[in-house]
Amino acid sequence: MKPPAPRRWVQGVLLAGFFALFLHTAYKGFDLLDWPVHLVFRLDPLAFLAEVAATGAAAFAGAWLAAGLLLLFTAILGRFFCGWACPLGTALDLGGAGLRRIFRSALRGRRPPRSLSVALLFGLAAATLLGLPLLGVFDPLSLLLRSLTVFVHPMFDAAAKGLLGGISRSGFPGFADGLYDVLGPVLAFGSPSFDLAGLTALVFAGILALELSAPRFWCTSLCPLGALLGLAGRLSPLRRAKSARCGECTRCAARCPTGAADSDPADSAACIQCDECRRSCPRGARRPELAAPGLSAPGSPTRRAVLTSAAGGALLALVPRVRAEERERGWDVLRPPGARPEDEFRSRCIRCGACMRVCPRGALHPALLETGLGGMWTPRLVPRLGYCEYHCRLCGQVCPTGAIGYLEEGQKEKTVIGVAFFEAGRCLPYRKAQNCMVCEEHCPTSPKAIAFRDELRLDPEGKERLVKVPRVVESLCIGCGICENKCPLPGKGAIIVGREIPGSLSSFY
Amino acid sequence: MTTAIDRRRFLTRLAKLGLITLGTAGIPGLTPGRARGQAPPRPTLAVTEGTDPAALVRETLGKLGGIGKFVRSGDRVVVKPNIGWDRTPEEAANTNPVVVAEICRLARAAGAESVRVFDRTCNDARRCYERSGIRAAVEALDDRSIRIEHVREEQFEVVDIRGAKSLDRWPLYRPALDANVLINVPIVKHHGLSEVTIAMKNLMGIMGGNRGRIHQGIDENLVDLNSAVRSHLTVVDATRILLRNGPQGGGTQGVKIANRLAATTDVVAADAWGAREFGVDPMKIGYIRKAHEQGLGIADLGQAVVL
Repeated sequence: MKPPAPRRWVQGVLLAGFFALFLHTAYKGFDLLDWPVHLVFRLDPLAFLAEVAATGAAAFAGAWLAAGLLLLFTAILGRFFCGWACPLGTALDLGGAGLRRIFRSALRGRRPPRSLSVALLFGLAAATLLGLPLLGVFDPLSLLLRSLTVFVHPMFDAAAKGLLGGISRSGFPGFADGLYDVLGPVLAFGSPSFDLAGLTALVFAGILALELSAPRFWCTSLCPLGALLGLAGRLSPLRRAKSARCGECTRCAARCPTGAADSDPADSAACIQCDECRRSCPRGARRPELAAPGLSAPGSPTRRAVLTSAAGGALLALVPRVRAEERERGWDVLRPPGARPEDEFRSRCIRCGACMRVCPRGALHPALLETGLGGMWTPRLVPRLGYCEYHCRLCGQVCPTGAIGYLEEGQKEKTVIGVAFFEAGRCLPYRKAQNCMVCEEHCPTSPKAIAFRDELRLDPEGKERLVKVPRVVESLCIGCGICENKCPLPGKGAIIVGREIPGSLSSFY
Repeated sequence: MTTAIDRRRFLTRLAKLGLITLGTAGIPGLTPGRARGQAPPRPTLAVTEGTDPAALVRETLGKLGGIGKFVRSGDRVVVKPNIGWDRTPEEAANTNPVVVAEICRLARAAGAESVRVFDRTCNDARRCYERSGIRAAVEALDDRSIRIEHVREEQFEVVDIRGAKSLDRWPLYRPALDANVLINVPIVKHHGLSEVTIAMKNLMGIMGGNRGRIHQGIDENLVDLNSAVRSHLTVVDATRILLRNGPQGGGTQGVKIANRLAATTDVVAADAWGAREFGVDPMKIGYIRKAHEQGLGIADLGQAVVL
């Protein structure tokens, strides 16, 4: 058996590094994170493009230098990032190879239309510029990170803990405890679960299933980052052309995962520099050579295709204007602490899910349409599922774009994300003249934002009872949601945090 | 010779094993150690005062005859401090870490096979363990048999509490129930609902489920819980007392430095002593009075032997 290509080693190491960063991005006893996973986005020119669309010239900051350099190197070397580094690409290589082996899929069918990814790139860019920010939904790094966060890791964790529990109950608790210690670093704390876990999984499974149709289907036909890098790759002076030694055996074209080797020279917008053509050629006939950049390489998007895509994106951007649901945002949509004002937040958020990954209480969940079409997979704080931990300020540290700003110690504790109110129709002291006070107990501010007074109230039988009746002191409430989270009533809480921010108009417009 | 086992046979066996495991599962019951109404023995209460918390622990337990009176060689000991909140020791929302660590050390020195420290916290458990200083203090003992660990959801087990008036069935933490010695190490704090929270309420840290649900009728529920799960020894930390904004405080404005510590085998006497340190009459605290009346322990410190 041939030793694996050097590319496989590089891919493996980088994917492992990505997983390591992912697992490391959690509360480990320190309020400041050292190597958060969002660092990978520093390399992502598509995220940079989204940031330019959102903030204009302000985006040209040193933080994005690496993304600029990646574009530059792609213009010299081609799409090496896709073939060698992209963790989603590696995951698809691995998953796709497995799927194809198991289902013995015949691969030599038709290649998917490559122009789709270009259409997505220009369409989404146009929509984003016109106020419907959806580039991040299709960013491959975002897609992988949020998939890991929202369903892959939680499912792995549930499986591992189910197994450990089974071992423990079958009479080997000591062995299970030992395994727990060994597996500790890759397990989640608690049992994470997320809104949209099913839909997120479906999207990922769909992309993986496309591998049965063609290897790297996503990368060649859909990925807008791939399309962007492909545009840069066309400038590359390196061409994988057939030399005179070529015996016309088509082995290179058969091995090429993207179909780039169908043409001669290989299509550098599609070629991911995997080097399979050279390695598979029995005569050493296909190797990169210097040539003049050919801007009109085969498979290049036509001007008409680009314009049509952009027009499509512009039309898409009109959809929110005609959706009645978008006239007013839900009153219960809360954003993470430190989030920029809503419009800016939505346009800068690239839907990577890093904030959801790092939130220690599992409070942040992807939205579907609750915040509008342009808010898909943006994080919202759902107090009933998890509250915002008073002294924690991790989400602002992992946001790759600054959609969630960094908060200092002391500043976080004063950051208001909403305000709590009682639903007196359900709350026990009001409804049954029964003492409860769980919300008051957990309120973290000092003095507490939930005050109470002993009052005589009628219970449901008409009997007068002295009961502690709570109220929200709005000037102290920061909307962290621990009250709603801990409210002991089943289902919906009797105290709820709304988006309204007392003393500020910004939550109303 | 080895017998080959094919996949199909392996899966069948696995399924059978699973069915057997399921079949044997049932809801275990807990019976109170002593029937209610029976007169409890006169409690002995050791009280000390001083600025060195570790010395206070040694001195207090020394007065009771040393920790060896409670912990025997080979015992599995659980130390249950209050680690409920994401607060620093100075904020007096959690048990003093020095007190916790010293109790663990003494228990091991008395021959305990293992000492486990845990709490089902209110705030994020990692933050609570960290910022309370209790993780660091216990790990500084550097003894592999003394473990501070996070509670694991699957180790909560629904238990029938026989003779309970209100809390008749609840998920409780198996390792706490299995311990030979359960040492309850609460801190004296203000509480909005029950006015003061000390030892009986600290035991809520072994409860799973939606604990807020026991706040309605908390007096009866706490008596039921403490009848079913006995604290073999209670060490009340009053080195700092949280007087306001309890039970989690915030800042040091509401914190009184009291430099006192008490220990007793009677959880009710422990609460009565703590309430007095806090500055309230224990018989005016609903759950303490109820516990006294139902014979769970003695809240009238006049009846106690105070050392």
